[in-house]
Amino acid sequence: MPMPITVCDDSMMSRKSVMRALPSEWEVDITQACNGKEALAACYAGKAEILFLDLTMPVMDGLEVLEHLKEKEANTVVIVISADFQPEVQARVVELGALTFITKPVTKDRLHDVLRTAGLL
Amino acid sequence: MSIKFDHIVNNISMGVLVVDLEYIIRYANPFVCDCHQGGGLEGQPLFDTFPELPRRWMEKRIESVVMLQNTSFTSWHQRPQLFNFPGSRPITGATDVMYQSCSFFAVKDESGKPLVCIAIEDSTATAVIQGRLRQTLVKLEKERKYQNDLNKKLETAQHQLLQSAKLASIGQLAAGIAHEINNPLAFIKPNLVALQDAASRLEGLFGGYSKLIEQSGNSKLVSAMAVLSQRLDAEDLRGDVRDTVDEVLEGINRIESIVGSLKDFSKLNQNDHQKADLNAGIRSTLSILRAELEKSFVKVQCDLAELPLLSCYPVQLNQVFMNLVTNACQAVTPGKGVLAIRSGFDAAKEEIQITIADNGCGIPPEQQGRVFDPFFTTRDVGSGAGLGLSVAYGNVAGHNGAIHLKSAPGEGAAFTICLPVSGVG
Amino acid sequence: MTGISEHEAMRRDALQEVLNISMGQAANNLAQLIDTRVHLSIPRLHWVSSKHPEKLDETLTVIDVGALMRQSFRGTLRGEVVVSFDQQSRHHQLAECLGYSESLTVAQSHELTLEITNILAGACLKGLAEQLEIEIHFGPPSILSAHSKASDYLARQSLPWTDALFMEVRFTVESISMGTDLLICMPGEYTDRVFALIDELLGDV
Repeated sequence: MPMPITVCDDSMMSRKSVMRALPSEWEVDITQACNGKEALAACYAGKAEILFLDLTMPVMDGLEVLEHLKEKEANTVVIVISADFQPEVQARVVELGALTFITKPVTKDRLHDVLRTAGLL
Repeated sequence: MSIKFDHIVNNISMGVLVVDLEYIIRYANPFVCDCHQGGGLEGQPLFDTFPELPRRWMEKRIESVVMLQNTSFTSWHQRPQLFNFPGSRPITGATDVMYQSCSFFAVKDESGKPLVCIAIEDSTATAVIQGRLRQTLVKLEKERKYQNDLNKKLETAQHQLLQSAKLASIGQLAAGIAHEINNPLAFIKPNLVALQDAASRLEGLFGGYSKLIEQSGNSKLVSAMAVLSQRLDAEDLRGDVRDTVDEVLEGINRIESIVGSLKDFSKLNQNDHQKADLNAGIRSTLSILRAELEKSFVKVQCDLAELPLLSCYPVQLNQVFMNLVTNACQAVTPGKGVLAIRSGFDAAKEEIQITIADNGCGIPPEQQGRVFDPFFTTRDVGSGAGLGLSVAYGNVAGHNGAIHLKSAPGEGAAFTICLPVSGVG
Repeated sequence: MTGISEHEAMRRDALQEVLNISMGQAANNLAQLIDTRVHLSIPRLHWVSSKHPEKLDETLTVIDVGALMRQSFRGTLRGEVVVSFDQQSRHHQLAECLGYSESLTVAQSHELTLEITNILAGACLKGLAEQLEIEIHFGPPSILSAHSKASDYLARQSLPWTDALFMEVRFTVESISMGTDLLICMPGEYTDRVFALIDELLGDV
């Protein structure tokens, strides 16, 4: 059964580049979200076992999403993909329960490494 | 294409210096070596060779360009000299130090080790010209201000000249009229006095004739006289003649005083010239006007400081005081008026200042520009020719001084006379 | 945004994302140097025409008076970066990190402001250049005005452009109350080139 995953980013080009970087053999059911609110809705609807999450977004940003998910003790695995890769930001993101951080622009190799290391493939 | 890059670096008109991250000089081009007056810089520590460099700041800059892989700049505007290089124009130049603008960027050596290149540009020419430009601007600004002040002074002088010209032409007119009126006045007054005398002799005659007729015992004559007396209103006749002549005489006196003002105004009385104490003039004017002052003011404040003697026409200046005080009398509410007179010497401006202020009805702003105009008056016809202030203005101007007015409706008026202590005559 | 084609919308979205990534690098550079978190706003694109200078005032986020710095860039793309430092910005507290002593002379404080400008502008454009696979070089930064509104300054009639693309992002360092607005300004002639490069990028994605 295909795994439900969600890709959240306000930029369409960015969502596309994440989706193209996913392993081709991976059986997944992809939901797209363009802000944090939509991402949370997808999580609560069971459509996000894995969430690829951007940080700088309107309406609700990535850090707020992480805070919500942590509070609700959700099962979602969050991989943050962001352009803002300052050390403090990366530390904060992991503190809030994200699995790991990928700096934009995302590459196929980097994404594969992360997924493999996390045993998600 | 192989280009001899060292050829370029040797001949370019800029300093090129390369250091490694231990701050050892790896390369210095001839420009730098020449400025340092000693070759063999390669392998030397940067901060020993150039002790004038601000070490901490320089280290931070060098570290930052390596870390960020960008270019960093300094400009002579903020940092005129980084390296203590001598100026390039020791004979014809305006300055003997070199103004510099530098850039720092990361390069690599053959083994890929990071190095930093410092490029040094001689900005002296630009700096000197900008400096001169700035100085010229400051000078121009000063001159502009001076010109502005001069213009303002010229405007004031022109205004005064116009005012004087007005006064002069009206003065001529006034002199002419005064002269014309004076002529008939010259025979009207004595004739009136003669008329008074004749009237009193006629009175005596009439009285004498009445007495004679009463004493005659001729009752027909007495009753005829009574009828005639009644018909011709003899009772009132005496009073009528006297009153009429008195009124005419009063009128003639008034005319005389107006002609006197006109004469003052046209300066037919030149008066004497002497060194005078203006405070004495103020006091004598106040004593002449004592009756008027008592009528109008509850309080007269005099604050007269010691004044240097002024070379002037004292009668003219006394006329100024008189006219201003008279105006003040007429401006206040009787029984509530306060008059304040202050005199002093301003050493900085080298002028004597006298202020005459009242707490009267004040002068509205739209009239303040016209109060010194001849014949300008806000009072009813017959209560003054409106020449008082213009005479005052003219007399003060004649002493190279000025009168200033400060007033607002309901807040009284203060006239300040400023007279340069250099005087006239 | 009515009236633009889907293709145009995609291009703008792509340019915005490219900008976002560049700004992230700039923020990271500054953060490394000063060892403090830097906040980024969402970047915004403005198309402006010198015929309607009043529109500039409405569109730009930076509405207040500030100290304006500028730096030119040249290469495949040409233009100027204008950086506005908030009037109340206390970025002089970064003096120690950049090698100055705590008390700065006027000249040193200008130099410090110019260096921060250089670091931010350099990093933003370098990021842009890397993603678009082009070369960009810089001139030295300089002070435009000690006390002006960016929109007032840019809207003056004597400027040499008729229309231009302004890309805007705001950097703040809260701990030292530093606020700056960075505008990458390119005259209209280069907009086509930008979008040609964006199209290439979209083609690869």
